[in-house]
Amino acid sequence: MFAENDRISHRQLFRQIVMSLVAPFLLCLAGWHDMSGVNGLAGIVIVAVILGFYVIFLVRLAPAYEHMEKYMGKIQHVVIAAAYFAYIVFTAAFILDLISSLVGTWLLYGVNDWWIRIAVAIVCAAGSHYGMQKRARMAEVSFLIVAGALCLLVVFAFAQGNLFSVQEFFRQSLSAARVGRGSWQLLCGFLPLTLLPFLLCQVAKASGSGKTVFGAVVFLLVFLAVLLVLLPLALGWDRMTMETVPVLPLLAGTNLPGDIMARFDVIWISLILYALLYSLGSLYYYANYVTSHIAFSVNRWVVALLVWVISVCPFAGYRIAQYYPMIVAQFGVPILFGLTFYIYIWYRRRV
Amino acid sequence: MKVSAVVKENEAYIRRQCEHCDDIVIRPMRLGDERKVDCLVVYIEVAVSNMMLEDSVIGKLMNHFWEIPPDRMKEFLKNNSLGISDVKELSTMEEAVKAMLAGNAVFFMDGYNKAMKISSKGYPNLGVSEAEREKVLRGSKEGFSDSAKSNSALIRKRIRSTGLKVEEQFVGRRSDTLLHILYIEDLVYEPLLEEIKERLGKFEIDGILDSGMIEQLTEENWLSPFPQFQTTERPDRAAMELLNGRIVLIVDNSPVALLLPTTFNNFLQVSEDKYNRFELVSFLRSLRFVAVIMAMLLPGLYLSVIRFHTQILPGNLILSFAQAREGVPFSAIVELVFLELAFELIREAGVRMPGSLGNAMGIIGGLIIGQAAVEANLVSPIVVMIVALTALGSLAIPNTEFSSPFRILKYGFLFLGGFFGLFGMILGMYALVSHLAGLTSFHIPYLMPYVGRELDRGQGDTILRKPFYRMKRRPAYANKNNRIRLRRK
Repeated sequence: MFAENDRISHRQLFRQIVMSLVAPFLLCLAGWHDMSGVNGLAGIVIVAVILGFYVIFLVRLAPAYEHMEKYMGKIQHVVIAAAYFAYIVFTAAFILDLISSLVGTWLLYGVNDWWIRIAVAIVCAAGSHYGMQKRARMAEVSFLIVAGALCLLVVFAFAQGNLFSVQEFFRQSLSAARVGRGSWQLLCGFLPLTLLPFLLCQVAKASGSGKTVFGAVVFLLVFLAVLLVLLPLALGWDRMTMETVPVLPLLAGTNLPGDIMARFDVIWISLILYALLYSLGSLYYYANYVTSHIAFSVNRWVVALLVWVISVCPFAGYRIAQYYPMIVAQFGVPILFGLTFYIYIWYRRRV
Repeated sequence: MKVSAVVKENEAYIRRQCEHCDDIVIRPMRLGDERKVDCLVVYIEVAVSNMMLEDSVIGKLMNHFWEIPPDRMKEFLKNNSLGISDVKELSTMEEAVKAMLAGNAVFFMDGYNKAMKISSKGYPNLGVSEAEREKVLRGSKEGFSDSAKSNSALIRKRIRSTGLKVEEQFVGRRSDTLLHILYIEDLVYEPLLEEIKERLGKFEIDGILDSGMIEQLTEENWLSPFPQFQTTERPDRAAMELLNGRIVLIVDNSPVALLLPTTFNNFLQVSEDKYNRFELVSFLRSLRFVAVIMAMLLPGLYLSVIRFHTQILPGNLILSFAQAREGVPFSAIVELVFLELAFELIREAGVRMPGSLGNAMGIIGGLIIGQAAVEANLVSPIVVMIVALTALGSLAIPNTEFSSPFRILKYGFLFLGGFFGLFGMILGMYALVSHLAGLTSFHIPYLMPYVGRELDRGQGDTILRKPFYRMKRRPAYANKNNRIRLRRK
């Protein structure tokens, strides 16, 4: 009644994109492999340009997703939904695994990993079947706290760290191959953007939301760029390349001014954990949304169980954290990006 | 059943209905100069005083009937009764009985097929007194009474406009409780008004004895611990909220009015927030937010820090915590739960105790039991401090109904923090934010205006309050066509 059209605003859209992606970016992209130094920065610029065009494309594609069965036919609709569902479930399992390893390392010791995953899966799945408005409201109230804290982290890290020389940042020379790999890595990180048309169906004045979405992408890229500069300066190039998650030692060394607390890393980690929970909750929501709009509607608890099983059961001896990045890079990006173009072609034919 | 022109028939009907109701006075009389016209007055003994019958216009009219011939009485009544302000004609016996049970006197006359409702002061009640639960330093001290009509009048006294509408409804099959729905016609959002009327019509119950029962029967999410109606016992607060486009429900026999729709933000505001300067108000509101956080999270945070994350504390502080706990035989969780429950008991006992004894109970409980527990090494002094700060936070929340969910959630967070550390606390916070984000009061998001700020632009009434002359717009839930509150000339 209040929001008659039951749609979310552009501000909520912006905050939702940032809240969903910021924590995985921080942990999985900043300083990883080729996403570091000048090559990483060059990759960011290239991806910004590519995504600028891709976002406009996705915005135009939104009506096709709203009435997919009409444009694609029943069978294609089901197949496409299944592809998205598989991507969502595997991504959720990866995030769940990330949360469990983060909690096990930093926050809770001596508790079986399974229980952590079960608790997280239940909390995130509960209420994930409610509408987009709820997720948008969650993002809106949480954004300032999470984004504010992360900005403070960067400022304190710059202000407090015994920074190495600027030369550290330029230790690795510019190379086309590295830039290419870094850009691909970053595109993998932005793969959740392919879910955007589902979200845009529920945004007020969706046709004008391109700027907002691109604004969120730029926000994330700028944040990532700042971290790329900060990490080698704070940790030194050698240590940064040796760390599995380079951001974590940065958090450990960044405290509040005034010696209020001996260490503040646990608080930073808690905020990142909150953002990760939001990401996982969003994925559960999309799993529900994608399946509820087609023939095979899947109960949210079934989705949670599926995600939990994938996250704990190794596949051919590999855990999700090991094979997920490879799946996304080799199959996820080409298939899902390709799928959007395929849907666009069908959509143009029918319109 | 229609009112009969034969008084005896009416009397028989009333006697049948009121059998064994000894508090109801059925007084037959003969009026006219020759005492030939049968009349009947029916009323509840305590609700209608003899004074009223003697002093009111109708009373004087009846006295006049002693002096005029019977054939002129009917004509006299017809010509004069409707001009009398406190008289209303009733045509059915059901209406007559209902009017009598509402505390009025009802008059019947032979040969006249209508009954006369003679308004009275009604049932005894406490009268207008000072608002006990919402004390303010600045502003009116008046509080609502038990009578719905008096309460509506107290609001009308503040908003002297015919735009203020007071709609009457009766709820409760047996209690037939009077309910007033108040709103300002051009400020209220119409669908909201329709929604509350629809919800009021959706249940049938034997009796409504307080506004709290209406609240529970009409709220959307009855599983949520968070109240979805705001309550007030201050007429000035109710009037202020009406000017914000909200709806006020007043229930007879309840000094607590319900305000709807309601948001999280509303509960942290008090009526004098509008009367004081914005700097002070912003500071006090920030304090109330801190109070909410303390009331809910402090024990859990304490436990998670001392049990799981001691590394975040400076060395000296860890040592002093450890020294304070020296000799305490229980774990920190047991210690904290024990003291929290003791405090809840003291609070509950203090509320039920008569006035001064209640205060004494608080002092005895807080000081003596706390001190004794520390000296007996049952709890550590730091835990006493944590419980005291939590209690202060809980008491600093201006609305009692709103502080209750935090009192309950405190235990949830206490166990989450105690068993899972900050991981448990964050999990709990996520679940709480998720719940609050999904909660609505009459379709208005509970977290307004922290969400959907573009709809609430210009209001400036959140944690920080704008200077009064800049608060130009009404909240988002007011009528969209009438959102401007203040224009400068």
